[in-house]
Amino acid sequence: MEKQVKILLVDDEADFIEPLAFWFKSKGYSVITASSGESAIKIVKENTPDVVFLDLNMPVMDGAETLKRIREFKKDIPVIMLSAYIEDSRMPHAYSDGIYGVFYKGKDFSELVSLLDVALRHIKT
Amino acid sequence: MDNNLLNNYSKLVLSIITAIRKISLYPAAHPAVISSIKDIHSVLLEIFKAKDALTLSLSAENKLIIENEPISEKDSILDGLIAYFKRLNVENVTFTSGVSEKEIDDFLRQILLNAEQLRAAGDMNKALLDKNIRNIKANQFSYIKIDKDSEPLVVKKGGADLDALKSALKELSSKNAQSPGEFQNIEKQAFDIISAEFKDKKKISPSTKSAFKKFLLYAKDKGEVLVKLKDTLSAAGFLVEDIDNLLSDIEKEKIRKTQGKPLPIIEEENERLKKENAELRLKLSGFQQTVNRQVSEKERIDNVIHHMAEGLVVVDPQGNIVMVNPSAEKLLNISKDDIGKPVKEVIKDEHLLTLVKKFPSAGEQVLEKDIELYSPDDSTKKILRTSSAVIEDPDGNTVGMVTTLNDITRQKELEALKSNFLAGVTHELRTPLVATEKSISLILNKTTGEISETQAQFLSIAERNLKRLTLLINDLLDLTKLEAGKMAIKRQASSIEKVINESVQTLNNWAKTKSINIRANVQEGLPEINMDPDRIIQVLNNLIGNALKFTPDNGTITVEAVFNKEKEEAEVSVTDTGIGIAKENLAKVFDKFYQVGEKIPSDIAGTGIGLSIAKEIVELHAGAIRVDSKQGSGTKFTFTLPLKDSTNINRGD
Repeated sequence: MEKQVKILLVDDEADFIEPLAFWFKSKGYSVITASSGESAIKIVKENTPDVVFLDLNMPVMDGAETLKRIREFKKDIPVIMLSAYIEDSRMPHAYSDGIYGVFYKGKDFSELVSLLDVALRHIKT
Repeated sequence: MDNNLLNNYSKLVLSIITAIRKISLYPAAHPAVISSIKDIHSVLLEIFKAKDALTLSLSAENKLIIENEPISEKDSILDGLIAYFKRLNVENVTFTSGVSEKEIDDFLRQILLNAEQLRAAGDMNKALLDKNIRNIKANQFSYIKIDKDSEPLVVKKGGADLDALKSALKELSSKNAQSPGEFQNIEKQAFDIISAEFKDKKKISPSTKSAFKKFLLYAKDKGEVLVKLKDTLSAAGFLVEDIDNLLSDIEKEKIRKTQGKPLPIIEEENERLKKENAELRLKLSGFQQTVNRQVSEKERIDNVIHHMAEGLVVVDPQGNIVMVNPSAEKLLNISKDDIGKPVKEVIKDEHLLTLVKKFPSAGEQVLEKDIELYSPDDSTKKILRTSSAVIEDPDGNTVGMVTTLNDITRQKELEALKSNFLAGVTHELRTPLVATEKSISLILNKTTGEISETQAQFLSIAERNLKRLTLLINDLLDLTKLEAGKMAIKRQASSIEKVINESVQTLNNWAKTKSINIRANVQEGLPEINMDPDRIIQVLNNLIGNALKFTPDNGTITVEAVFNKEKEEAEVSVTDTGIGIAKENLAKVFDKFYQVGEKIPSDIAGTGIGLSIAKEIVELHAGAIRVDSKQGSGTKFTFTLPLKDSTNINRGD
């Protein structure tokens, strides 16, 4: 059997993360959660997840800033942004720092699977 | 008296006159001139055998006197000499022994100078000294005195004036070109002489006639000069018949010397004048262009004002209409004929009148006001948005007031439509929301049967977030109410402490999910405030909710209430240990719909409409809300509630 894929979910809204984490776990993924950009960076450094789902709009350090910091030491880890806003001025920055896609919070969770597939294909190659 | 001496005196006078005539006729150093000077010199030498000096003077009766002896030569000969005395304003001339031929020559040439040169020479004695003439002295007035006004020339016949004319003509004949205005000057001189002679005898002397004839040779258009002469004489009051006789007399006169032709104006002078002319033309055309530009600019501005969709009215400080454009005419139901009339007489509607009449007070930039107008039959309502501003001159004096009028009836209708739509939608949302909430709570309370711990956990999340959604929808509803001015404030004496505790309790569950501690510090003995407790709870919910959103896990939120005795108001603050707000974004946090279509700075993203609602509610209580923040170390919102609301006006129903 293949090694279990480890996912890091980063969002300051616990009420959003909890159902999302449960859903991923039910699909057989290993899930770690973080409620701030700072703890996310720490986890990436120490635990090295396979994929990161990163919320854009967070207090203190937003998703774009967190991504920038992660890219300073981890160039190749696949990141997928999470956002409630369709248009956000910070999104282009995130794209230029290298992301695999964006999941809009209003959409169906099943869309997460296709985003995750793209990221995982990258890992295998 | 020695007859011989007297004889010599006569000889002297004759020789001087001869010399003067020779000098004015022949070029210098001509043998005729030289011999005439010699004649004077030899007569003088004869006389100087008897005395050392000889003085020629003019008596009060215009008689020539030499050494106290009146000279009884023929008048016609003496007149010439007397004229020079007159012309130079000389009382007497003294020759002393030792006088040389050269001195005599120089002296005679000196007194022959024309008027211009005489003026330039200045003082006569000085001129003589300049020429090194030591033995001829003149007791006289300066040359300067020779001018038209003082009229020193009182001459019986023709005389000096005519001589001046002759010498001017002579000068002209020696030139190839004339200076500008030279011809006109001579013409004037000639006309003056003719007028003077004509006045006495109705005709002019032959010498004047011949001089004038010569002068005519230099005229470009002889006829024109004659017409001018005729005009001048008839203007002086002479009979037409006499003038005509004179003119035909002049026509008949034959002159021997017929050389002379109109002289061109001296080239340089002409060039200079041309240049000046061109410069003036250029200036004039520049000026014309400026005028044209300003005229077209004015036309353009007039055009713009004329076609503006906004109405424009200008009123002077006395309240009279100065200007109205067609849009304003239509909106105010007035016409162009009302310009100049007082506003009071023209505008009947009272609302409108107060507006146009009242000048914005000092310091007030623009006075904005919405006014409702009813048509005469009261069936239709019009809403005008008016902006008035004082017009000041550069010195800061009020010179009038300009008011623009905007018909915003349609805009207002659309706003009302939007508000109603939003209110409707929000109400519609409530039913499914309540249905969901109730169903979940039935499952969660195990009324429908046992559930697993995980099921309970997620149902709790659902319940919590449904509450959040309800709050958001309530905010939206409140906003529409506030917009429509329909927010009701139900005041009652209430305890601030109770209100704070209730709000903190409501939000504690949410705070726990982030391990945030909410502390409430309420000053003891805080008086009850006359307020709407439900609305103030809403304000606190919004402020604390906002703090929760922006405070990271394990932070602290402090709610404080103190009483400001001086201002007689309660001060309530909510302080968080969140990320803070940048200075430049502080003013924006209370903006309604700030997040629509704008880039959202992350430090205020998600504040939603809660803060603008909080602001409206506090202001309805006659209080004020403010925000202080330091980026990175937290934000503090403070609002005040006065103990006595002096305005005491409740908006809405």
